[in-house]
Amino acid sequence: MNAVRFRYLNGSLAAAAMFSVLTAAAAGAQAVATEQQHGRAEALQTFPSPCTKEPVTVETKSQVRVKQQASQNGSTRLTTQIHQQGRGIGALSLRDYNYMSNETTDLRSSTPVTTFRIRTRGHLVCQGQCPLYPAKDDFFVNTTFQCADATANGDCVMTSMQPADCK
Amino acid sequence: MDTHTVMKHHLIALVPVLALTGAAAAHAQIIGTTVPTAPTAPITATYAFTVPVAKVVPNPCSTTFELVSGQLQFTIRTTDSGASGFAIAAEVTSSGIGQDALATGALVVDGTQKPEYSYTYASGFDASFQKRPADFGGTLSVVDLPSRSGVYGNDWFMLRTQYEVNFTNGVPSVPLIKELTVSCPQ
Repeated sequence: MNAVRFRYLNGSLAAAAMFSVLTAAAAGAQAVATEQQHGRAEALQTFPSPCTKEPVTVETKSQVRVKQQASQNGSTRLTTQIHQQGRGIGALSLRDYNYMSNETTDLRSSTPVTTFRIRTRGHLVCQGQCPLYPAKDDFFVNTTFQCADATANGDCVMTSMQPADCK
Repeated sequence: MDTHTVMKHHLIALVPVLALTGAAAAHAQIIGTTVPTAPTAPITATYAFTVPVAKVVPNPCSTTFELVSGQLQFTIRTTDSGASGFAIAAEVTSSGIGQDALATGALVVDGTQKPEYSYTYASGFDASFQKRPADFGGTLSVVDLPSRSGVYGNDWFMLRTQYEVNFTNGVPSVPLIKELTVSCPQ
């Protein structure tokens, strides 16, 4: 029931070089390096609505912007912008759901960040013929993004998406 | 989408809880001889902060105002593994209510008020480093979706709280609320 399919469309372009630059900067290199990544990812997942228990298939599209900047003194600045939107459909009722989530971070560190993981929560809003009372069929999903990891080439990648609570 | 910046608000209060576990680095030395020591155990520390929120905001989906009152709770755990690295794990929960009010903050009690909005949110982040950073921090945000109860369940808006958290030598300071913004997504 919990089928997950992540498809990464457009990953990092120069992320491997970015980590080399960050490491060099941490070691005292003079150059100031800035690397910016843009990525798009799609995910398709089916899970039960925590409100009605009906299986809902959710397709999300994520736009990720990651910027890492290494300064002369070895410090690192990491900014991420994650925008998600998508839609879902109930397996039995064929109800439509809209999905959206936004997350922005701006971090600095005197030591290079090896890994950064952020957990966000999105909102699935039932559209059209939806029960309003006593049970409103809107619910939340928790999404985890892994950023600045060597295996992810410095980009942010969605690593999990799980239903949370009924709104 | 109509967005209003409604507050620039500095920190309000805290409830610190600190628990330290693990062993400190050990070096045993006898005169003339250095005795090898066992590997250093990771040192973990847990910190908890509660930051209250109270502000009148314009309802972005209507012409009224809402008195938002709630809190952000932070649970931050640090793990110092010495030469093996340093890690931070932070959990952030947000909860509160919004009550129909006047621009002054006085609650509407003339019978025209609707059921209050309520919201909860949970998020967090993890970060790891090759060594404990002397300075780490920045701004993050939580996005709440306050909604009314019962038959008014379709009445909701977005409440974004931006906060700043800083660590000095691995020790967090009290998170600061930087800004609250509201918007109507419908």
